[in-house]
Formats: sequence, C-alpha cells, structure tokens
Amino acid sequence: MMQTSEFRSMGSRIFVALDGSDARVFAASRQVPGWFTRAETIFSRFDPESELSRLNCSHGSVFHASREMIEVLQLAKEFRQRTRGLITPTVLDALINSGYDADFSSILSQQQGGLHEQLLPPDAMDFDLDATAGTVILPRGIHLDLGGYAKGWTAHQAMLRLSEFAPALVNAGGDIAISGPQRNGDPWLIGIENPLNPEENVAMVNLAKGGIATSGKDYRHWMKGGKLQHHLIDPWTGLPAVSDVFSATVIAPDVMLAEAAAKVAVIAGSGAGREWLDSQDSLAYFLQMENGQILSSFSFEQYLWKSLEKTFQQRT
Amino acid sequence: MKKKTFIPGSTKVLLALTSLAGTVGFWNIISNQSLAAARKSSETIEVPADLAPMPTVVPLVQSPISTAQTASGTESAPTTLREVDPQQSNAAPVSSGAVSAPEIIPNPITTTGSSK
Repeated sequence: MMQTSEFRSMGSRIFVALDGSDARVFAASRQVPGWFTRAETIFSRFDPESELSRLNCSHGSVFHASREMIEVLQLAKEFRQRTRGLITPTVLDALINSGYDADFSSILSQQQGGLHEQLLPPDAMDFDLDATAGTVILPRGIHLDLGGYAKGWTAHQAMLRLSEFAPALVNAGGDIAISGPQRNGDPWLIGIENPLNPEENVAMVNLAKGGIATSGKDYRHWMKGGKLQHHLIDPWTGLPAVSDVFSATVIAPDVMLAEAAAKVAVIAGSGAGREWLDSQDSLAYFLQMENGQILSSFSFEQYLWKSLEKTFQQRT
Repeated sequence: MKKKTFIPGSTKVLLALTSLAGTVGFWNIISNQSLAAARKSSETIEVPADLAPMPTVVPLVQSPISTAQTASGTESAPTTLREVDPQQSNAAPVSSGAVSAPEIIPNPITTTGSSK
C-alpha cells in the first residue's frame, strides 16, 4: 500500500511517497516535514537567523558551519568545477539585483524598479572550505545562494532515510529523489509538466532509481525595469540567462546532479548546454525550447512511457 | 331363401394384412420419392433476389399511416421519426472486431516542473 503526504517547505511543495504500510513506515513518513524544516533553518536566505544568512554576514572571518552546511558547500564546489563555473552559489547579489530579493510570493506583487548594472563575472569569486575542520571563509563582497542545491540535497537525504523502511520517492518542488523500484518491482511513473500549462504533462517517464529534476524560466519569473526576469542567473553576465531553452528536465544518478544539469541546459542553451550534457556520463535530458520544439537525448527515450513516446516523436 | 355364406376368419386376416402391407408399402414409396426430390432441390437451390415475402396467415394490408386512427378516433402519433440524443441512448455501441479499446493513460505518482 502506498503512503503519500504533501506539505510546503523551503518555498516549495514537498511530496513524499512510501511503498509500505506498516507502522514503522507510517512513523517515518511523519518525520519528513521536520527534516525539511530543519533544512530551511540552515539554508534559507530569507531568514536572517538562518545559518546561511549568518555565513553571508561573516565578512571574511572563519565561520564554523554545521555538518549539513559543509556537505552542501562541498556539493556546490564540485558542481562549480564540473560545470566550469556556470553553476555556482556565488550569484546571490546578481539574483537580488535582478529583483529576486524576497520570498518569491512577495516578488510577484512588486514587479517594478530599475535594472541594476551588469555584474562582473564571478570567476574569481570563490570561498574556502575546510571540510575536516568544518569551517568556511567567505571573502568580503561574496554572498551565497544555496536554494537549488539545498532543496535537492534535502530531498536526497530524506529519501535515503526513508528507504530504510520502504521504497521511497521524495519530490521537493520538482526535484525528485527515488530510492529504488516499488515493492512489485515496477518503476515510478513521473509526469513532465507542460511549462505553459502545469496541469498537463507533455510526457511521462518510468524511473526506477536516481533523480530527475526540471529547471525553467516558466514559474519563478517577474518584471523589473520593463524586462522579464527569472531566477536562473548567468554568472558570466550577472543577469538572468538568455537562452533558447525554456525548460529542461534531466535524469541523473542522483537528484542533486539532475538539478544542476537542468540549470546548465537553461543557462547555456541548446548549443553549449547540450554539448556539456552529452559529455557527461549517465545524464538523459528533455528540453522544451522557446519555440515549442522538444529536444532530447537518445538515452532519454528509454525512460519515456510508451504512449506519450509517440506524441514526443511527432513533436520532435 | 338364399343361404348365407360365411367368409372364413383366416381369409379376413389375410385380407387385412394385405391391405395393411399395401398401404405401408405404398406410403413408403411415396415418402422416399419426396425425400429424394427434396434433397435434390436443396443441393441446387438458388434464392432469387426478388423473393416474395413468406406468406402469412393474415394478409398484410398496406394503409397510409397519416390516415390511421386510434380506437378512440383520435389521430395517432406523428409520422416523422423522433430524434434521439445519442448520448442518452441505451443502445450498445456498434463494435466491430477490428476496433481496439481506447488506451488508458495511467496517472503519474508525481510530476516534475520548475520549482514551485
């Protein structure tokens, strides 16, 4: 019997599914909201009391971080290196300049003001991390946004804990972590939303294990200075990325990598983005372009649910 | 006075048996011929396209419906056919063996989209 629950945390809708019915499974599923609340108190940039806010105010001094913070910062460093600086947490100031300076629900009601000047590429902007000592040194003038990493990481951690009791799926705002096949051996059927109509799925995939995530310009966007802004910052311009990819869905061995890879596709576009995605092992992608076209890797087709595979082939 | 003559009983029995045998044999010959003829005709039967309707005991009388009257003398139902909404019809849909059932699209357990 499948147990599901849903709640809001970290600015997103969280969905949990556990394929089990005994008392231990039920007890485990009730703990999940607490895990996400704990993560929010660490990683929220909107809460001045959060650990991240305190780190962002450390101004070059040695900051003693929690184990969770160290893990996520290690992840951020790894992705920064792997994507040659394209995916970096040091874009917070650019994100604020573009207008994303409060919780997203309050931004939607503002939508005014002038566009700030373009920021310098943050190539030299980095932070020192000593995982053994559990310390971080964040240079003056650099501030971190860990939103995407933290959400994927928290979903992954929750999935790992729940998998001790039953096959588990955790969806944190579209970043989905899966522990393994369902009890009957079947994979999990997951819909890929139409970015222009979230009530409709443009495709469905069968995924037995790993992660799937979608990143796009369709939801977290707003108007500022008469221009459409969104939350995916190109670190080389310091501005919301301009690319031909409207929404990208990536399947990866884990949800953190899937989330970062989806961002690469949207920020870098179908040219450089696909080149990078194709160069990575075990990534499968599904891109919904600005012009309505759909592009996908050959490896993605093996996950597609059969009926919509035909639809997909017609649209390609 | 003429003397009465009696036919012996054995003669009567003989006459009865002869009569019975003749009747049965004659009937048998006729029925065999009818059966043979029926078989022959069934093997070569060809139904004409304009075959007349099978006769009934009561002869059909064609009568214009517009002039039909009910027993009470009032006019009968209108002659035009009543329109039936196909959505409300209880009739079973016409189905041929070549038409497959519509495919059932399952509901996904969850969906992925831009962070919401």
